[in-house]
Formats: sequence, C-alpha cells, structure tokens
Amino acid sequence: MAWYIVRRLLQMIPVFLGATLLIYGMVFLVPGDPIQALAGSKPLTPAVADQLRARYNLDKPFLVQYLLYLKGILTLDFGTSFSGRPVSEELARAFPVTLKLAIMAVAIESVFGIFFGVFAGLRKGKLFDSTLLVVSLIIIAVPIFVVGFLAQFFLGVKWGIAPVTVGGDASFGRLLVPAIVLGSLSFAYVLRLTRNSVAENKDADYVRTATAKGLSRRRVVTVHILRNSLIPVVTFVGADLGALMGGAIVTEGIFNINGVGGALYQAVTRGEPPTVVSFVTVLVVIFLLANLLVDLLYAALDPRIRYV
Amino acid sequence: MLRITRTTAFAAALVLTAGIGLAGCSSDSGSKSKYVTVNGSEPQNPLVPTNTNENGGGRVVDRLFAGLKYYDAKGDPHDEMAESIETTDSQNYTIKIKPDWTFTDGTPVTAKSFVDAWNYGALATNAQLQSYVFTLIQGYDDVSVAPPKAQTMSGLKVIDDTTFTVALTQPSIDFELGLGYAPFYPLPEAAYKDMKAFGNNPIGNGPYKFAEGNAWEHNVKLDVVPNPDYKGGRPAKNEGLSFVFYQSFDTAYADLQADNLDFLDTIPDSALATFKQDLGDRAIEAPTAQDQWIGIPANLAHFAGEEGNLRKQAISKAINREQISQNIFHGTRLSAKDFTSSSLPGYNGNLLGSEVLTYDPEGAKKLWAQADAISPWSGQFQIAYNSDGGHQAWIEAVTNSIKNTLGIEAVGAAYPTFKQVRDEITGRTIGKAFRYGWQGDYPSMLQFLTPNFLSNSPTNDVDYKSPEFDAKLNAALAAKTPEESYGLTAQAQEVLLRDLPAIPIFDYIASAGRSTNVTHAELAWNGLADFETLTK
Repeated sequence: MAWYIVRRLLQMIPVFLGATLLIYGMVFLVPGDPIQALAGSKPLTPAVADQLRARYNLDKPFLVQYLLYLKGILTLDFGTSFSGRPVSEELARAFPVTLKLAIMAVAIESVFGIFFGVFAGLRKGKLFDSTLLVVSLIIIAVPIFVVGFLAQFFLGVKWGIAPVTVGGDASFGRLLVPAIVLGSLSFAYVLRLTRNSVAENKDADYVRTATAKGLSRRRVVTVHILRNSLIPVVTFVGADLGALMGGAIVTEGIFNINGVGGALYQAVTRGEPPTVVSFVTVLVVIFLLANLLVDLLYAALDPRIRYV
Repeated sequence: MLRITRTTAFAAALVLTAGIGLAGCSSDSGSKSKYVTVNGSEPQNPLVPTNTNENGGGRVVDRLFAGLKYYDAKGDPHDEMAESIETTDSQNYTIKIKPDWTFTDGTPVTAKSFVDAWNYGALATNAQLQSYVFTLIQGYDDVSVAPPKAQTMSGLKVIDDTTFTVALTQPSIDFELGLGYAPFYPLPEAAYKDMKAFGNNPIGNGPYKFAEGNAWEHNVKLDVVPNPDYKGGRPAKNEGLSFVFYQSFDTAYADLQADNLDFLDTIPDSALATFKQDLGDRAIEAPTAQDQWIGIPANLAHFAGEEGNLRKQAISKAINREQISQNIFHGTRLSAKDFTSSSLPGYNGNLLGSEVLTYDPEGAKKLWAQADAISPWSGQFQIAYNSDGGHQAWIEAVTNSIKNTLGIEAVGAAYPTFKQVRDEITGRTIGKAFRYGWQGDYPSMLQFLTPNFLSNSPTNDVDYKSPEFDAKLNAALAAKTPEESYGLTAQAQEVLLRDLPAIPIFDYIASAGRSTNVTHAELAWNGLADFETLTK
C-alpha cells in the first residue's frame, strides 16, 4: 500500500513537468506584447519597455524563460506578477478561499446527492423518483451563471436573507450560497449516479441473501446496497473537486469571491506566464491528489480491490 | 424507514435554512462601516504616482497625494500646492509652492520633493510606466535612454526650499494645465530608500492617507481616511473611503442595489436599460472625457489623397451615431461633435466642418460616388476591434450603417484581446481601419489632440502628418492664456475635421449610482466619483 502511494506520487513529477511546459508554452504563444498592453494606448518609452521585458524575462527565448521559471520553483520562488508582488503570496491568498468553497460544494453535493439518490433508487419508477428525475434534469439544463445570478438577486438583493457578495470575508456563512450554486450541477449528477447504482444493486443476489438472513432493512440499505453503489459516485466526486476548483471562476465572479478564478482570469488577460503557470500547476497537483485519494477509497469500499 | 428519511430530510432542510439565515445576519454587520464604500479594482502596479497608469490605482493615488494643481468636479484647474506659477513665454516656468505643507510622515514638502520625484519618474532605469509625461522637459532625452546619459533633467532647477524652475524644449500651455496629473506629484525622502515598500504603503500629502492597520487587503479592498494635515482646496468631507475591489460591474451593481456599496461609477451593460428605474433619483449621469474613434491608417488602400478624403467623409456621414447610441447604449453615449470631449473646459460643439460627423445618407452616397470616379472601390471595408472590451455590438452597428448607406461590404474584424490589436496598430501591420479611443489624463482638450495627431508624437497611431495642423496646434500650445488657447485649438480641430485622420464616433456619458446611505454624490469630469465630496 505504502509503496503504491510512493509510486503514484513519483508519477506526478513527469505530469508536473509536462503540465508546466505545456501551459508556459500556451501563455507564451498568446499573441500580443504584454508589456505594450501594460501601457494601454498611452506611449511607453522604449527604454522603459526594454527594462520591464528584462525584469520579467520576456526578452529571452522561450526555453530559457521556462527553465528560469523552473529554477525559481525549485527554490520555492514562483516569480513576481506585474504588480510587483510575489506570485507565492497570491497563491497563498487565493487557494485557501477557493479550496474552502470547493470543499463546501463537494460536501453539499455529496450529502444531498447521495441521500436523495438512495431514496430515489429504492423507489425506482415511483412518483418521488420521477419527480427527482425531472428536477435533476432542470438543474443540469440551466447554466450555472443563471442559477448564480438568480440566487444572488432573490436571496441577496430582493429578500436580503443572504449576503449579496462575499468580498474579503470568506467565512462559512458567506460562502454557503455560492457553494450551493457551485455544487448544484454536480448535485444533480451525484443524485442520478447514486440512484441508478442503487436501483441496480437493490435487486442483486447478495441483497436478497442479506434480507433472507434477517438483517434489518436499514442495515441492508446502508451496508450492503449503499457501500457497493458508491464506487461510481466516489469516482465522480473525486474528479469533481479538481473540476470545481478550476471551474469556480463563474461563481467566484458573480459573488465577488477573491479566489483562484479571478486571479487566474486577470493573469491570463495580462499575459503573466509565472502567475498563470503557478496557478494552473497547483490546480493540476490538487487534481492528481484527489484522484489518488479516489483510488485509495476504492480499496476501502470494495474488498476485491487491493493495491500492492 | 420512510419516517426516518422524512425527518432527516426535514432536518437537513432546517440546517440549510438556518445556514442561509446565519449568513444573512453576518452580511448586515459589513455595511455599517462609517467609510463611504466605492467600487475599485486591485491596483495593477505599486502605488507610486509615476508608475500608476490605470484608474484602479489612479483613483487611490489621487486621494493620497496633492500636486501643484487639482481639478474640481467640472475639470477646472485650481492651485493646490502652487503659490504661483509664472511664465512669460509658456516655455520657462518659475514655480513657487506654499510653505508649511508636510507629508504624513512629518517631513516638509519642498521644491526638492517635486524635482526629485519628476527626475525619478523620468529616469529610464527606474522603468516607470508614466515616464513619457516628462517628454517636454529639457534634458528628458538624456535620462530616458538606457543606459542614461544623465541622472537628472537639466531643465529642472531647485532655487530654494519653495521655488524651482522648469525649462521646456518648446512652449506648451498644456504643461501648466497638466500639473495636477498624478506623475507630477511630489514624493517624500523616505520613498527612495525602498520604492517597492513605499508603493505598498505610500506616504503622501493629499486629502487622504492610508487607514490604520491592514489598510490594503490585496484583491479585496483598500481603506483611506482623511489626512488632518492636508491644507489644500479639496479636503475630505467624509470619514474615509473604502475602495472595494470587484471582478465585475454586475456584481458591484447587485451590491449597490442591496446598499452594501455606496457608490458605483460604472453601471454594467446588462443594467443600462433598467438602472434609472431601479435606482430612481439615485442614478447619476454626466458626460466624461473619453472618446471612441475609428482610426484609418494613412497607408490603407483607397484612403490616401483626394479619394481617401472623400471616402472618409462618406463613411463618417454614413454612420447613424444617434440611433446606435440609443439602441445599443441606451443613451449613454453622445454623438461626437469634435475630437475632444464635451466635458472639457473650452469645448465648442459647433466647429466649422463638424457637420461631417452628422448622419447624412444622401451626402454620403454622393461623396462615395465622387471617390469612385477617381478610382473604383474594391474589396471590403474592415474595422478591427478587440472583443474583450464590449465593442462588438456597436462596431457591428457601425458597419451595418455603412453597409446599408453606401452599399459596400463593411465588416467588423474581431481580435481576441486588446493587446493583440494594439500590437498590430503600433507595429503598423494592421492593414484595416481600427477602433481606438482616448481617455483624458487631465482635463485639457490639447491632451486629446497632441498625442494622437501631432506628426512627431509616438502615439500618432494613424500616422497623420499635416504641417498645417502642427502649426495651428503648436500655436495653441504656445498661447498665453487658456482662453486664447481655446480659440487656436478650435482652428486646429477644423483642420482635423477637414482631413479626418480618424472618424470620431462617441463621447462617453458616465452612468453611476449611489446607495440610499449616501446624501451627496457627484461624478467628476473623468467619469469617476468626486471622491472628496461623497457624504453619507
């Protein structure tokens, strides 16, 4: 088991190198001179432009730029943004906020999704099941920014029962509505995955055996049906944590949450390679770690799976 | 089982509602701040006046520093730190400053504070974005090259603690008008020790200073409080300002409606149609010194000489500015009447030849036919624009207007980002007409004309070269009084209206709003709040 984890962690090194190189290359290839853009339509003295290019290594060839960036990372120096602040400071500020938001969203979607999914699966074809089917279809069909703006307008502006924006105070209470909005789409998926899985498993032989043994209905559902139904759900939720962190940009924009999305968007539009690459790389690492966690959970859920 | 599930579901719903309720409570505590909350954005550079060239940082820098002059809400200049600014030829200035002013660290503001700050801003090795504003000062050419040939500009001389002289390379009345612009602010001694640290926690002499404690929370907000030592003509009338940074104006607008934000200087496009209804008398509108033009590169095929002149006039007359402003901007744009902006001192909306900017389909067709007689038209008329700035709708409307009037193929050419389109414009490789604009740095008509149309200006994007215009504009710059300069500027503009190096389309009207907590809010000439007079 420990060896398996070490191996997986080692595999992350080439992925990390590949990801940074690819992203650095993409930012590099974005047309337009970022230094000229700093000046807008105002003039920029050529000497000043040259100084700035040199300061951010933009005057060097692509590979040199990339290697300098890598060298910096090895010494935990992620470079500086155009505003002169270290990127590491920006990472330390933005990631906790978005991580908190994403974890809240994942918690909400899993708890409610699995709960209602089990309920619907056990009552396959009944009114409750069909109602949830329609509800989840609606949630999947409506784009997230519509949900976000509606929640903000009605809960925040019109009725005043929830904060309109989050701003600097990213507390649990203020992040709750954005987390519900962010988790809503995945809630629908978790619901349907659980529901299908449970509906399939509830007629399985081992469930009949368990019932025949005289186990309580409750024990049959939670231990025998649910545990075996969770594998696809766990796969989805694990991958979703990474997806939500990267995809929170819309929700963060609507609720003015100062997280990864906003910082990344600004860095992309300004064409700051160090900032973009650092943010995306951390996202990639989180994604990889979440996947590792999912694989380990498989073993916990299904005794047939063993890692050596 | 059923009962358990229902109970649990109910409990879950209860928890959720309680959570939202809890969140609701916590939101109230935030809005009771005594500071007036205004929208802003994270400054893109450290708060050093010579390095701040965008209005996220600019709106803060202007609060923290006081210059020789300041501009009131209408854009009229007044002396702030200047006791007197004397010149006989608009080229050599003797500037006396008021004594007894101090920076917030207690050190006095002297003539040297100004001269050193300007020299710092101009020196190439300091890589200050606003370095170009010192271009006119003698000796700038020596300090603005790398490596610099001199460390200071020869045109600046400190006479005594309160007097210094400035020598320019050519007469410019605009130099004096521009002395309230941020790069001309003074800096304290302390700044030069560590400019980076200074930019994070500036020490100024303006109407405000940083609030105690964590004044600047990066990407979140920045708080300033009145500076009790400020002695100038625009003292703070509120207990402080809190610049709240938003990622989108839509979000800021939601906060404004919920009274969490006290002043928003830009109503988002999505609310332009409804904001007057939503806000009632809390909606604020005022013309602002910002223009949109369509530039036509001098070397574009069919747009040179007599033929080009006819075609440019035809295109200008083919654009129904009035209708586009109504349909797309809900009246928040003014049809351009000249190359400056109606909010500027000395503006004249009835210049000779300005009828070329009014919609006249018949006249447009006639002019186009005349041009065709010289050389028949072929191909497409394309207008390049950046699609990250909300320009698509109006550019399409403009091309449709041209297409319908002149019967030619006119299309918008979208570039994904602003920097991409700028690259091709400055590299002269764009090969089509392009959207561009100008936002006044300080309230002066000359500041719209000099950088954009003077032959030797580095930002003359359309390569307009007219000795006649240059002569008239230089005469306006050399004028003795503002009034004299206004008349000469008008003459220079009449040359532009005849040659149309660019086609003016709109002036901006800023649309803003205030919360119910605010008792006085006004928009200034630049489309931002008149921050000092906001009260609640």
